[in-house]
Amino acid sequence: MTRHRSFLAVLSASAVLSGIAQADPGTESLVTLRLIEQYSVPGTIAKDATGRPLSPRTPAYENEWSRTNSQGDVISTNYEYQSRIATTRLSNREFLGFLVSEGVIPAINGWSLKAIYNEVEAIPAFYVTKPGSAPIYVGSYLDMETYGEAEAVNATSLERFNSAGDSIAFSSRDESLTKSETFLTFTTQAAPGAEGSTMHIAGMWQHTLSLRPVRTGGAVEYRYLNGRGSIYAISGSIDDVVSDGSGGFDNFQSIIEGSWLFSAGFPIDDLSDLYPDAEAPPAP
Amino acid sequence: MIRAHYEFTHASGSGGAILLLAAGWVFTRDGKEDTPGETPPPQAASGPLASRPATSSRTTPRDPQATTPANPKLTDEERVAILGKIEEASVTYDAKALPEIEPFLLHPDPEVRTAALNGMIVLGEAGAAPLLRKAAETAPTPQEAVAMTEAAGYLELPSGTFVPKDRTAPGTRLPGGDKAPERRRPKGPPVSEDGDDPK
Repeated sequence: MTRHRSFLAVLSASAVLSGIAQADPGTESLVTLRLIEQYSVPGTIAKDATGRPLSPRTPAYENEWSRTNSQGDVISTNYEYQSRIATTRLSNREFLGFLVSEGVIPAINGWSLKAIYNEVEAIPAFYVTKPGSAPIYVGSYLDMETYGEAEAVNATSLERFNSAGDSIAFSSRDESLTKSETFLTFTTQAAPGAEGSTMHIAGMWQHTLSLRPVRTGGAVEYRYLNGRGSIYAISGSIDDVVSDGSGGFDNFQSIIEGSWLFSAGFPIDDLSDLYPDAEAPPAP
Repeated sequence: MIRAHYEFTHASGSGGAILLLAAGWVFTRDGKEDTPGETPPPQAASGPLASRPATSSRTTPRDPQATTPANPKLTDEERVAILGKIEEASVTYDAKALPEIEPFLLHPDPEVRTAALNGMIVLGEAGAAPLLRKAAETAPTPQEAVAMTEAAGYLELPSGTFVPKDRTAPGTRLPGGDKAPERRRPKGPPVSEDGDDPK
């Protein structure tokens, strides 16, 4: 999806005025994951035919047993099915723990999850960063797509000329707030049905964008910078496919709720330096 | 000549120092300044972002060490430094760093407070919960008090995992689908012909 850019011309003009050649600038934003996972777990323990708990204690959903009198006559039959909902949190440290298990990073300490925006596309690329280490692209695990959206924009510009027709002053603004229906997929499965996990979530992504002057060194250029945002009202599920040890697969399911939060972005001079996977696609 | 106002510094990921000229801007050439006509910002949909104080070209900066309207005592440079400190503490993922973030939960600057709250979530330790509940008692707004209380509850949840083999470790949950036990639905107790429960 391409961003609506009311003032791309202004951006170019200002860059020329400032004497700065446009590299591939972007914005870097901290991401805070705040997800809750819930799934069914057994609510009782396995029992024998008389209703006595088996040893060792084993979680179970259901049991059936009967009781007899001294003559061996059945005096009662019993059935139970019990489950409960287990709730866990999935935040940044759990995601980074996954990256450790995948060998992407050696340990979670010092690593941050970042959304990196270029100035052309709305959807960010995801990286993990640590001071002193090269950023690592993790977008191969996370896929983000948007569909319907609603947008509020305030874009204006004014240029004034003298009697000779020379431009003597220029000013503008461009601020927008966009709400996008968003789908996110996190997967470790090489193919559908293969062993691994896949999380599908949907939510409303609210994000802001504004044209701001940025000084790099001694000069000024004008950039579109992403403000604070969030994906809220998230709902979805995780499907786990695990080998059952006998050539088949066991399937597990859980549900997801929560939000993702994005901090206000900081400008990045040139994405190609550290975030090549976040670079804008070449112009057609 | 370009004149601009409202600056703060940020060391970008590329290592270069960038001065971000926040808020509105006016620049002139040949020493002539122009003040644009004002257009009110769009009334965006309500929500946390919509209610955030917008930087606006209405602002006429006077001081090069200018600050945001939200907190006249904190420069943007100082804010960036604090946000960096919060991030640094949060990514230790160590409860020992909680006291480094806690003071910022009630900082006068709303952006710092938000960063501190998020930093607690990123750090991901249940030990943050009492600190958040304590801060909620004196939070500047009811909304923030609720957010802090909710974050406390969130952090008290047991930590899950994205690692498939750990997610389905033996004894944690049973497979679903065809292998899930099919629940039998017990019938209600028999009733007598006149509709009364048998005693």
